[in-house]
Amino acid sequence: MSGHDPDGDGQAGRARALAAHLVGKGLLTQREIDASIERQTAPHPGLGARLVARAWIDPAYRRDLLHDGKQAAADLGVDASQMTRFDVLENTPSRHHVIVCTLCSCYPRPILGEPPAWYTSAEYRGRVVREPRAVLAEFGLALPRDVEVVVVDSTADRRFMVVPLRPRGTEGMTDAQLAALVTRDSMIGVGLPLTPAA
Amino acid sequence: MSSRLPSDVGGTGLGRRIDRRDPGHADWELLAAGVRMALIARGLFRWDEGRRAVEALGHERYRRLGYEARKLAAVEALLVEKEALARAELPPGSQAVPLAAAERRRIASAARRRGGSPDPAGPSFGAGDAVRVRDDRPPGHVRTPAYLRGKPGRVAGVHGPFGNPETLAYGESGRPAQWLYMVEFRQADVWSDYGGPAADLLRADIYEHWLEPREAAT
Repeated sequence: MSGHDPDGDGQAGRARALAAHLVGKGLLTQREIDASIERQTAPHPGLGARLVARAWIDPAYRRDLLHDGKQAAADLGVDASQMTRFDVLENTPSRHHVIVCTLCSCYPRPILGEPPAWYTSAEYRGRVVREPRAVLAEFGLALPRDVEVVVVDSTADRRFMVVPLRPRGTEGMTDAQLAALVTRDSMIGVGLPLTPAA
Repeated sequence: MSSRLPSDVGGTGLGRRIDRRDPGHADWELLAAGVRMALIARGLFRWDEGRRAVEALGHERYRRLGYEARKLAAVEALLVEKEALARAELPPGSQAVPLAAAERRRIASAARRRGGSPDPAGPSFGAGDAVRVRDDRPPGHVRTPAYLRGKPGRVAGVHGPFGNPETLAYGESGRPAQWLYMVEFRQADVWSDYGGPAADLLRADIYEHWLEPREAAT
């Protein structure tokens, strides 16, 4: 079952009715609702890609990012203040991280935007902790057995993001060029960054 | 396990394909999320209460309703619990399952007793300690996944004190705070049939009252 619900059983009408009723009763204003929607839809994976690109270029920034993700994000103009803790995980040639929230849908939304539907699905949440390599293979990522796979289950107030390995052939690229290679899936850990066009 | 919360799906779903389509959000889903976040910003309820109210939907509703529909039902239930709306004011067809105040108090009291008072001098465990996750089955909201209960691990980080989600979920303050740890597990210790290499790991953040010391063989 995917994480999203078709409108077939009247959810849309109920949501609209509830919103109108809450506004009518003065429990919320339309402005608050609109601002809330804006806050939710504004972040996007490009923000995370910005952090990754900088970490690829600058070892000192990489250390800062791994040590204090919120501060390092703020240093690049990315507002991570809504998260209690933001922990950035570094992939290495011998260690690959993949993120999940088995209990609900915890995800670094201020950095990556809304999670993809599959991330909140019972199938991903159920299987990736138990058979991560099979799940990664379904996403097209086959890791050799000498690469350690570390599954990180977001069970409390920490939110996570992965710095994937920098692709080969990217020497001398600018932040913007590198950020364009960093996919959302590579920052969750189910994919690799793009490689530069041959 | 029937005692599992419906949201506690870690380890299930083997053999089921992950639908990797990403259809984006319908307008009503954005609206529902906007309402929910605006109510949280107003302080009407906390994240923990929202999660608990989703769990209260029960297995059948949880599987049938989609992601936003579950959250919508949870918000409706909390509006009734907080007496912001009367039950009769909910839109027809609401799937909300409000929890009576007496029941909320009962579960929160039990959770508070289980949490205990943390040592004000600091955490009970340190990095490197061998621990085991307790195999408790409390009645209410927890953030310790069923698949980790009874499993041996090692403390890999000490995160500091956090409000107890098990009481926050019922409208309480979450105090006394509980020390939170990053615990690392060998996948082979978590799953008897784990097919990957011995070096594969899993990490989860676990609250102190869910951990007990163990004698480490290695």
